[in-house]
Amino acid sequence: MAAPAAAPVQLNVSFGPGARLGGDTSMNIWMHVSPSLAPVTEFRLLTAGGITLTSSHLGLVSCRRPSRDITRVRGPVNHSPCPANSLMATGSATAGLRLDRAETIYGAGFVELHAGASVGDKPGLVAIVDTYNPVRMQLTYAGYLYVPPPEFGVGLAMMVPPIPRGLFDSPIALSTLHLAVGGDGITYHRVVRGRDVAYHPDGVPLPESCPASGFRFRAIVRFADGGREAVDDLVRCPPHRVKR
Amino acid sequence: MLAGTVVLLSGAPVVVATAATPRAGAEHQVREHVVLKVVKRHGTTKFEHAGKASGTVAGAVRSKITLAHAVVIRGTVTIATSKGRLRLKIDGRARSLELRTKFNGSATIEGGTGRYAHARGSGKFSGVVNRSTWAATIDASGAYTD
Repeated sequence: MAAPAAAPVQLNVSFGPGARLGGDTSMNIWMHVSPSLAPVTEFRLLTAGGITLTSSHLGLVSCRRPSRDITRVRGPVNHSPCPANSLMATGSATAGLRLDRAETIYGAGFVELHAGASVGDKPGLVAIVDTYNPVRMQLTYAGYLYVPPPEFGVGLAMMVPPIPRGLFDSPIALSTLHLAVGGDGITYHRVVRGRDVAYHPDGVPLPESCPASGFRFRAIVRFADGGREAVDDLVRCPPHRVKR
Repeated sequence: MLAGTVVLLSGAPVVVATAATPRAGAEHQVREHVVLKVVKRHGTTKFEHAGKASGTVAGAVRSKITLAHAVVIRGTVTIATSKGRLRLKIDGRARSLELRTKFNGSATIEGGTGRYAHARGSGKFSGVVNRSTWAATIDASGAYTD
């Protein structure tokens, strides 16, 4: 019997270890896009109802990047162009460089997701991608938070315009994306009694209650050929926080 | 409409104007500056604030605000004055996730008690909320009729 075909877009969401309803946790997002699809031009993540960033202490400042930096290919840089206290998530991404129909080579990079300046009338997002394979370069992408359908918490949208083809003369297609929102890799700074103090901000607040079927997350991906795919993932309810 | 009384003094008619009677449906312009501190929280999205309003209608303020979908701010604001309470409904959007988040939107004046029992109108507001303390300041302007 033939193995079932993999879904064109796969989504897996999980909470950090020790996650409790009513407490803060990290939120791990993993997304995979089939290499048979056209390059991704936009992806959206809708968080489960009750899970928003409202009460999180992530993104205390905005990373303001000039519009000319968006998708501009910069040479490798050794520091993030964004303030530390704007960082909301860290992770990694892989993308396929399609040389021809038969050959694709994959590149990889580290990803930082920052709170950004407003985009129109919406809170903005900025993604910084530092690639390390096959070449080192830095890319900047823009996105925003938006109001999702009522059954969801908040919508995160990222635009993925194509990298100038003159660089590789081949289209580049997002393959996998992993992000840890509010994870241990995030360090903020504050001034206490005149001294700079580093600390880890609280993660994403979870509501006190959870639907019986679990928390439903959704990814929506749009492609260069006009196609669109949507996929859901259900995350099992964490236990309740022990109240002391 | 002015009410007047004609009084004859030394043969010369004098019109004594009495106080003008406010015309029903008169429009009143309103500008408010409101400073709020949180007094109660329900979960991570519902807040009750108390504070003061200064401006056209000045007095103590109580509000109940809900933050939905991380960016939607909705609720009611009640200003208590010596002449009655004025109730406003607000519907706005956050513009950033910064520590001091700016937001703006529309306000609807929905009446109240005493002087403001029949007040109806609309306006706009803008403000800043501190996501650490949830203290907020709001500036609103608009007009109402009564």
